[in-house]
Amino acid sequence: MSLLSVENLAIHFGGIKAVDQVSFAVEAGEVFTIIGPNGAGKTTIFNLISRIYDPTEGRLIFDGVDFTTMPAHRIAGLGIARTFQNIELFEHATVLQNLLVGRQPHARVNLLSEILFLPSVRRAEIAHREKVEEIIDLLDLQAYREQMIANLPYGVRKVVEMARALCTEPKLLLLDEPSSGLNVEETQDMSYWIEDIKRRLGVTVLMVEHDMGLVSSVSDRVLALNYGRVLAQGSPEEVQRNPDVIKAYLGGEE
Amino acid sequence: MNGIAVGCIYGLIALGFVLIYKATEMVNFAQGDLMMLGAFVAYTLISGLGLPYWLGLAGAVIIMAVFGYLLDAVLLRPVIGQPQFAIVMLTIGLGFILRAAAGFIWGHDPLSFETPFTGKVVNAGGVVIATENLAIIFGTVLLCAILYAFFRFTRLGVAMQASSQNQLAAYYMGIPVKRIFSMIWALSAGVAAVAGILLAPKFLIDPNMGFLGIKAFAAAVLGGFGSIPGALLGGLVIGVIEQIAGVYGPPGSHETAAYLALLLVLVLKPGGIFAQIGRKKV
Repeated sequence: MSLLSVENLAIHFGGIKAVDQVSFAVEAGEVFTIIGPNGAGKTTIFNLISRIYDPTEGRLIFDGVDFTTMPAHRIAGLGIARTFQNIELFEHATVLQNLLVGRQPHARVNLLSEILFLPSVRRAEIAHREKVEEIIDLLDLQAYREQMIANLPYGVRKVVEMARALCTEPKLLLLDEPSSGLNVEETQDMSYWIEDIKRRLGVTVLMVEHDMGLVSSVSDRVLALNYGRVLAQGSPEEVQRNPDVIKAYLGGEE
Repeated sequence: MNGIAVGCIYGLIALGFVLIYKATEMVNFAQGDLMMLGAFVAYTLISGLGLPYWLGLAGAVIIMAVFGYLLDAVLLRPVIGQPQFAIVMLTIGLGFILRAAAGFIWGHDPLSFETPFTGKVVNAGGVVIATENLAIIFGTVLLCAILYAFFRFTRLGVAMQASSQNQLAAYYMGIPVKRIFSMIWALSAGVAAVAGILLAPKFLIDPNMGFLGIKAFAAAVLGGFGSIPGALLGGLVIGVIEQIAGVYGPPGSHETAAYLALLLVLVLKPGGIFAQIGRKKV
């Protein structure tokens, strides 16, 4: 069974079919990338999967659970985490605080036991801290631990956002344009991080990406979209050679 | 002393404004009326039902918190996403309704209830201080300490901070943002109730006491609208300025001093004393 199945997904904004009958399946342990020209519906699919939008048609199934109508805040508990194209962090908090908020889906305490600071709360707190430190080590964020997000450069914030998503211990990580706004060197680092996330944490990655260098270096499978429809699906090489895909990007003769 | 005590009340109401504004970007113009309602509920519990003061206080705070929660969940949630104007009109209208309802239920004659602080004085080394003033100041400090600990150390408090800093991110950390917003309304209404109850021995309770909220609004703006310590300090500043103007200024300046201070701050330091809204980087 696939980790994530998207079946006949569609959303219409007025008369515009932003996503039209899209189906695909992401297998556990792979890096699956959605590519396509601007406005193809990539981010819309992300927003559908993360339940910001309600689909007009279709079903979303994760790990055997139909979550088509689940509210957005329960997605994390299901095992899906995401990052955003424009980075959504808690700006007036430190890196460590941001990551600790990521432990929220695993918190099992109530107000009373917190006020009394029972041993169980203390133990849970220590476990959360350990998990956070593990992610900090994995993504090399030690130097920024106590820094305010507002003071960090863009490239670092991008990594922090990914780290926070990983702190929720997801089975599936959705990365929305992980390389956008990064320079060549940072993009290179990003491809290492994605490899590490897949290999060392065993997290399945579904991403939307424009940088074809990054796409072909990390992706196991690629799905190409245009005008909300699936153009091609397969290995990065297959998709890049597909005449429809080339036409969509470069605008071939009609 | 009087100025500081009244300032504390302004600060508490301003705190309510700021809590809601920071989280939901709504300005709740009915904040002063929530305080009025809190005082009336306490009146009913203490003078009407004969409960002891502390029980009545706790009861009124809980009832107002539930009221605040429902207010958000039932009335305000549907207007989220509408223009700011609609929300402002809604909360102003809500203030009118609350005042009218209070007048209908409790009448327009000023009321008061017995508190442990009414009419007593403390002689502190030759300085005579009214106990009710001390109660207000002590109550405010205690409430602030509790709120600080709540936001700093509890999961709910942190979830509230997270939701107000970034809603989108909060959703994907598994925080039920909508419910958290309603809880912030509950908190804010509870704080307003405390302010109303603390104020009760000083002023009489009547449906129009909520107009005090306008001065508290001035305090919130003075403090930078969005800064919690700023709101409290803004309240103190307004309270003290008012008293000084009342004693040394020409007649009538007691009432206008607060707005004059507000105007001055807006002209000289538009971001407020504790501006949190940084200039946009270009």
